[in-house]
Amino acid sequence: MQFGIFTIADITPDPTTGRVPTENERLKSMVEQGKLAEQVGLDVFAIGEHHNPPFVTSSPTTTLAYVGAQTEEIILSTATTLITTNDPVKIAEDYAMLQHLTGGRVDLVMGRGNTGPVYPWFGQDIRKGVEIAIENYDLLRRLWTEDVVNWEGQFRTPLQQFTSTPRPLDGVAPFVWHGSIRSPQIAEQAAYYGDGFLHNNIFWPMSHTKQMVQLYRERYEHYGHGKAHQAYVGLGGQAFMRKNSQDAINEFRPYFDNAPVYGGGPSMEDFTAQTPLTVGSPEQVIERYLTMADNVGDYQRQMFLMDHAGLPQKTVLEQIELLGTEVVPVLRRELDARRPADVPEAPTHAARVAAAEAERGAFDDAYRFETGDNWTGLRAEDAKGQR
Amino acid sequence: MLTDQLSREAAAALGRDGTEVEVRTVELREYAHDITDALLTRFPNERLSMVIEQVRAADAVIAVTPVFNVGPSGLFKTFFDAVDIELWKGKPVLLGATAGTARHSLAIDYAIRPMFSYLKSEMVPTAVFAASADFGADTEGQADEQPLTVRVRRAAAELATMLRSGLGDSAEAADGTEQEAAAAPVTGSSLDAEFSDFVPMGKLLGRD
Repeated sequence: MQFGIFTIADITPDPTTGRVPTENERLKSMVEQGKLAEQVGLDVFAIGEHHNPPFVTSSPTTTLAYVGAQTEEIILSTATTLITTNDPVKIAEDYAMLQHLTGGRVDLVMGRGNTGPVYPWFGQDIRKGVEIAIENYDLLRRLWTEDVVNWEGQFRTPLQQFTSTPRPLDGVAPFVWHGSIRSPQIAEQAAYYGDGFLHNNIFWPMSHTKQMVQLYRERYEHYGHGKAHQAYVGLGGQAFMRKNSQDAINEFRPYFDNAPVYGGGPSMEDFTAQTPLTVGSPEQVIERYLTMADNVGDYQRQMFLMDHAGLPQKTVLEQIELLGTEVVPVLRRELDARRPADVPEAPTHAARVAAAEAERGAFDDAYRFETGDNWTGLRAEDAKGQR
Repeated sequence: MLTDQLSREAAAALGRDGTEVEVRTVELREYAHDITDALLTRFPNERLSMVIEQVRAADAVIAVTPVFNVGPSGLFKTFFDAVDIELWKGKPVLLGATAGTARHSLAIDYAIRPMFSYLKSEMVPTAVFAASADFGADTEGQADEQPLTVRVRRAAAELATMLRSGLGDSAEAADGTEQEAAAAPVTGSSLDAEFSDFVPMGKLLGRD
């Protein structure tokens, strides 16, 4: 089981002081959080992608590479990668680069984004959001699995004899999760490819999450990737902790009451009852998150949003430390113990390489393209064996 | 008061052929906070979910609101804004409204009925508007050529006829077939209808 944190890098005023971090501070704070996440034993650090204020994270691979260079173990992921407005060719290249440079510590969560106007900024049509996501992702997979791609579709120019470089590390593409909150189509897409499905349920009641995950699991089995309970499921989470639960409640309330997403709506008590947000002692957080698997089945990844609503960096770092040192060790032990042997572990590059080698033999990483001025990929004699 | 009259008369009209009628009255006022929360969080909490399930299970809905500023009360409108619009499709609905003066009497037709048209509800032709004066005229025929009780009875009879003809049922059935044709092979699962709203990937990619 993997545990991690994600940030969407919003610039939100601290409601208790009115202080607004600068863009530079916000970027540096993300890097610091990623490094601390590794130090306290978390498995995953993920960042969002947004192309508009109040966010600062328009170029995720830049940040992830920078964090990757200063860490050793932690998996670098996204929350989410916009499969609609990014050119799949660029995603294939960027994340294969990151994969090589970080020793395979990369996976991605695909999303369509929640900001309508972003589509035209990148030359796409929001009315075709789902169609674009489907076509782009299908192409992305081919770019990672096939050395030479000939492709024609609706939403980008055709590709003739195109090779996306670098080729994925060890011949194994980064693992992909598909993130969706409300679209059954995305659960279907994840299931079709046998990819992971990450339901970021932080603003949703379990009754909804449970059904989206069940749909994904049923379709995963339908497409023959394994039994429903063997599919790869990830969840979102949210917590604010202090040793003494009343301290946590008092400290977090002004942030809750003014949060851009739920501020002015339900009371913190109602919201914590209805969604995964847990405000209290580390023990209460443990207790709450031990129940998630009862609803969605044994799952592989639990992500937490710790960095939001204008919380100051010092507090966020304290929260990450509590999560890593007090909460996650217990969750990890308990959830690993309840997982039946036939439910797969969370995907890692090493495990995926081992599986690929078991299937097709060892991977030969000898450079297999022509050197010199060459834009058509494989040499003619090798191309015969290809499609 | 109007709600009670409408539901009482509707139950009586349906009961004439022995149909058992169960009436549940939901006072939106009691859910005002839940409705506002749902509008902000985009999901109904448990209390409001129970109301939604009652509406979903109901064979017909009598929807009554006071008229404020030539429209339904904000709370009434917010309830409809906060819940899934599919809930109302093909649902037999009898509309009622109250106001201080009869000069608001067309508010139902101008400001309330259009929303239900959009929601594709099956509307009872007669909507019942009651001004304060109507409640004063308790003897039939005293204040109006068509006193409130007569209008209520007519609307209730129309609702009963509508239900007996199976109008709500047929709307549901037609809807069901349509969805089946579009979504095809969902497994025999217990998921809510919204989770079958997808196209199988093979079809979407043109491979099936």
